[in-house]
Amino acid sequence: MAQDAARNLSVLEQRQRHRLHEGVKVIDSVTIQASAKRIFEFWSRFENLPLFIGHLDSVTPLSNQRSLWIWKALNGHKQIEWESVLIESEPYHLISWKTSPDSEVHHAGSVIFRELPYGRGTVVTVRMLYDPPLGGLADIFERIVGESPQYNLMNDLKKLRQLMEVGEIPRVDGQPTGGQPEEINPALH
Amino acid sequence: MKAVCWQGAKQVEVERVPDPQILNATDAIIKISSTAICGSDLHLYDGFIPEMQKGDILGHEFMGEVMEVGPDVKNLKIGDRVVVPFAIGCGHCFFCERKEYSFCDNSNPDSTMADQVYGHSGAGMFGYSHLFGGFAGGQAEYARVPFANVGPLVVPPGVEDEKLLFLSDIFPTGYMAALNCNIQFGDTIAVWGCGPVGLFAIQSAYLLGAERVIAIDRIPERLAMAERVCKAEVLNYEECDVLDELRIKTGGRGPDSCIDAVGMEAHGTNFYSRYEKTKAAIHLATDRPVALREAIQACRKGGTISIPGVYGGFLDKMPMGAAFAKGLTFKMGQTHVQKYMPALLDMILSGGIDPSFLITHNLDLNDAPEAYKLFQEKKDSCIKVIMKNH
Repeated sequence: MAQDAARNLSVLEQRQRHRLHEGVKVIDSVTIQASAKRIFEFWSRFENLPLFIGHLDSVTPLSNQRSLWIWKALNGHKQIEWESVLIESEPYHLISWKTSPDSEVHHAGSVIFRELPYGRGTVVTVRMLYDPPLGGLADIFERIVGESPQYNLMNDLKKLRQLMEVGEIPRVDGQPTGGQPEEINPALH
Repeated sequence: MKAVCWQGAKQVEVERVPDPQILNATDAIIKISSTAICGSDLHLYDGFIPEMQKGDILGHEFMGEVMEVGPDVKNLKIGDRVVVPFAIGCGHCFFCERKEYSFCDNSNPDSTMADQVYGHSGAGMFGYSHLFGGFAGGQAEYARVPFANVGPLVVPPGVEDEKLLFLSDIFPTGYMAALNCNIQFGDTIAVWGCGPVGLFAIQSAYLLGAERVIAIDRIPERLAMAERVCKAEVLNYEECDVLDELRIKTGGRGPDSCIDAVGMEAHGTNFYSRYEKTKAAIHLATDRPVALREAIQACRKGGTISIPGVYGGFLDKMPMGAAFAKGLTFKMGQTHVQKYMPALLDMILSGGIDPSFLITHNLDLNDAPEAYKLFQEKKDSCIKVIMKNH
C-alpha cells in the first residue's frame, strides 16, 4: 500500500517537473494542518487564488477548463492578464495549469498535495514557471513576478496556510503607531 | 489614546496616537487597566533587539476590559475582564494544536526576517519589534488583540489587577522555567537572576517539589526578596565565588538543575564579563552569556539547564565541552503562556500564591519614561513596575 502510494507520488512529481522546462522556475512547499481534500477543493476554485497570491487581483472562470487571471501592480495602476487552461485535476493529489497558447505571457504551474500520517497535516508543493514576455509587458511582469519569485511564492504559501488553518491572514497595517495624528474609535468611548 | 512609544535606544515617550480599530474578524480591543514593564522590555530599551521602528508602541504584559470584538470572536464578550498572553497563538496550527503557543506558525504577519535569522519564525508578540510581527503593544490606553478566541483569559471580578497581571508573562515564564527542570524530590535548583522571572522560578521550583533553591544575584533588595519571600538560599556574586559556593553547598555534586533567568545582558564581575560588554558594544557578539556559562559549569552531571532569560543572537565562548562532558540537557524558549494560565489562575484564586509581592512601583502610564529609566538602572529598589491608566 505504502509502496504504491510512494510510486504514485513520484510519478506525480515527475509529471509536475516535466510541465516546467524553461524560464523562471520556482518551487516551494508548506505543511498545513488540514486534509488534502480541503486544500485541494480550495485550490480547485481558482477564483480563491487571489486570497493568498500577492498581486493576483482576480481570477474569473470562463468555462470548466479556462479562466482569466488579472494581475495588478503599482497600487493597481499597472495590469497584466492571461487566460489559463486547466491541464490536470486529480482529486486530492494534483492540479496543473498553463496559459493558453495565444497568451502574451507563458506561465505554467502545478501543485501536489501529500497528506501525512498521524495528523501531521498535508504537504503542499508548488512549482511555477514564468516565461518573461518581450516588449511593453516586460516591465510590469517584472514587478509582478520577476523581482523575487521565490520569495513571493514562499509568502503566498504562508498565507495559504493561514487561510486554511485559521481562516484569516494576520495583519498589522492599520494599527496605531507613534507619530500619527490622534483618531478616535467611537466604539471605545 | 495615550501610548508608550519607542523613540530609539534609551528613549521612550508617552504620545497621543490613533485608537486601535478591529482589523480582522477574530480581533478584540481591550481597554487596559494595568500594564507592566518586563525585563525583556529593557532589551528593547537598551537597543539589543533589532527591527524596532521609531514610534512602535511597547508593552506585552497587560490586562483590562473587552470593549469591542470582531464578528468571529466567540469566546469573549464586551465587558469581560481579561489577561492577555504576551505571545500570540492562532490556536489551529501544528504547534498551537500541541499547546506550544509561542511557536505559532501563523501569528507573525511578516516572518521573513525571523525565518532568515532563526530558520523559522516563532509567534508574533505584542510590542516586541518587527522581527516578531510588529504588533502594537499594551503600554497604552487600548490594545488590539488578534486571535482573541485563543489568547485572552477571562478572570473574575473582585480580585485586584496586581494579583492577576503577571499571568500575562512572568509568572508562567518562571513556572515553565521550573517545569523544564523536570524536578524530582530531593532536587537542588540554582537560579541565576532574582528579577521577577527568577523569583517566580524559585517559588515554582518549590511548588514542583524541589528540596532546596539557591538564588544568585548582586542587588541586595532582590536577594532579600528571594530569601525572605521566596525562601531561597542566596548568593551575592559580588561577594563570593559562585562556583565554589555552589560546589560546597551541594556537597560537590552540583545543583541538579540550573535556571538562567538573566539572559543576554548579564553583568558579572570577572574579566570575561568586561570582555563581553566590550564585544557587544563593538558588535563582535550580540549577547553576553556570563550567567549561562556559570550555570553550565556549576550544573551536576546529567542535569538540566533551563533558560527563561532571553537570548537574541550569537554567543561567544560557550563551554560546550563542559556541557557535553556532563551530558547536560538544555531547555529554553518563549513561554507557552496560554497553556499554563488556567492552572496558575486557580493557584492565585485559591490563595496558593500571591504574585503581587513583586511590585515595588505602582505608577501612572504618563510616568513611563521615568519608569523605564528607574527599572533599567535598578534604582530606588526597583524590582517590578506596573502602570495604570488613571
